Amino acid sequence: MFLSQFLKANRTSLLAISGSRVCLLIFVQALAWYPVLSEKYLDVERQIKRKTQLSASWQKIQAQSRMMEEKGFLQVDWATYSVGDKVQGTATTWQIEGRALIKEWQVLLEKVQEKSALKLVSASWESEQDSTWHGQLLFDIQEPKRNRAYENWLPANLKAGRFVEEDWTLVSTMRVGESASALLKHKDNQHWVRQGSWLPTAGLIVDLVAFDRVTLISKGGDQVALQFRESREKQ
Amino acid sequence: MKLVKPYSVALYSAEQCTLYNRNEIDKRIDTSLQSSDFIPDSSQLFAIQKTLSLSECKVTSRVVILIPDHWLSVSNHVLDPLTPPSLLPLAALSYAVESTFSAPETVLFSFRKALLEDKRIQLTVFACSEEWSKQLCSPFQSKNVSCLIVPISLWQSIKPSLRSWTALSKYALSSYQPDYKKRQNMKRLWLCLWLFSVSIHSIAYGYFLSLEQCIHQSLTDRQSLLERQLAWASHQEPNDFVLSTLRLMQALPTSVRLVSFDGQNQQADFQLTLMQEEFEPLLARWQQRFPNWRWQVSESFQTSNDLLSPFESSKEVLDVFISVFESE
Repeated sequence: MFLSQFLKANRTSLLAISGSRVCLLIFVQALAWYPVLSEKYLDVERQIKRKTQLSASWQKIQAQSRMMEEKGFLQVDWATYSVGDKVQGTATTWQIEGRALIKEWQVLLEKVQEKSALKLVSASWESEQDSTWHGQLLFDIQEPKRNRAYENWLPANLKAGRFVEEDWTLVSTMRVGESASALLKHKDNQHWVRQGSWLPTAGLIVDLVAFDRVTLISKGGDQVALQFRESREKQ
Repeated sequence: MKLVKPYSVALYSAEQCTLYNRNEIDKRIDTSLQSSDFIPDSSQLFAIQKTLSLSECKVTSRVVILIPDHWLSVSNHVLDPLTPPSLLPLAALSYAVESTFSAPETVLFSFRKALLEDKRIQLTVFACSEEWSKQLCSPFQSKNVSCLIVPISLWQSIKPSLRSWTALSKYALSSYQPDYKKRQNMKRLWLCLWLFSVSIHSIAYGYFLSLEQCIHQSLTDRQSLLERQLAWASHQEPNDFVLSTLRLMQALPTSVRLVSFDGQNQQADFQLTLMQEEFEPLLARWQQRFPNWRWQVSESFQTSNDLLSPFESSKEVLDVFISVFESE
């Protein structure tokens, strides 16, 4: 009898529950979900962020492709350019061909690089008689990124070969039939040159030999004219 | 959908005990039931119960047993208006004990309260011994049917629309339950807890599933985007060979002249004009820097300058054609 009484008492005390305890239990149950749900929620946010990043980058690629397809992409008349094959409606390659002074090429290619993300696939450079370069370049179009490293696609370094006029003296010019030649003095060396000659010590090409002057072109495309001292002083 | 389970009604009379549907019972109760003075003893009750056919009982699991008032001990009392309602059950118990001459633990009772005109309370107490109620219920309890014993006058005092099982259980004969309110309250709390728990878990789980769905959706979206982007980028080859050779051209000293350059895939061809003495160290430097590249060199002296440079006889100018291959 003692035991049954005890059990009965125990049972009622087990069933006894107060309002605050109900609230507590409900709160505890809600709390138990919190870590699971909050982690899932963060996961959702992370995934959505990754997705939007990716779709933003894809949109950038497409916008770049559309921009490069436009006729007025580069306002330049000495070069022709076009986009190549398309995958997923988006251009994959871009090519340009033209003939200009290396300075002009530099300006153009810098502009191209500023506007679009390109990677050089093949390049063909041909130095022409009039000191221009004929270039034919093919690029892979890449995903536009904010901090791209600048790539130099030119055939020569523009900074090389600074011309110091004081070192040079035009000594004489001579014309034999069609070909004109000139005697130049550079520091202690004397050079007989004609049109198209290469002066290795100075890195200069002879562009033109005229009656009273010689025009030289540096590797960077700078043009310099040498005249007889007397005529220069007269001017 | 009917939430409330129906119950049957068993009606005791002096001659028989009959089971009715809840709807038809009111027609069956006539005044003769109440007016007769017959009170059965145990054996007579047993005989009355024999008349009951329980076949219909299989349908319902709950039965309200109506018995004539005079089968119980009924007493009327008038209480002071100030009596608190919570004390009414206790008062009824004491009257029931008084009228049945039995111990409080073994008495079953029910009461009806009515307000008199002078605001006093009239308490009608119906009481019987536990034994008697057991016997009344015995044919039903043996079939595992739960039953409530209600005096006919009490049944009649309840509006037909309120005769639900739970409402009737308040009017049925029962032993004194001092903790009834408390337990009722507890039941409500447990129910509340259960409902809230279920709703919390189902809401949380639903939210969890929707988040999962969201993750799945963005993953598949991302996957398809990635596939498109990869398809677009698949033509690209990570090859810097052309650019590397072009860099060599840019780094040429001032004294070397580049005539032409053609670089594609794994091959670059170019032509240089330079002094003979300069060429060997230049090539050696390049080969040292790129040991994996293959170099093909063909040289030719520039003849044109011979005539023109008598002052530079020591300096031979070379035209050099070089092909470079990137080894796999």
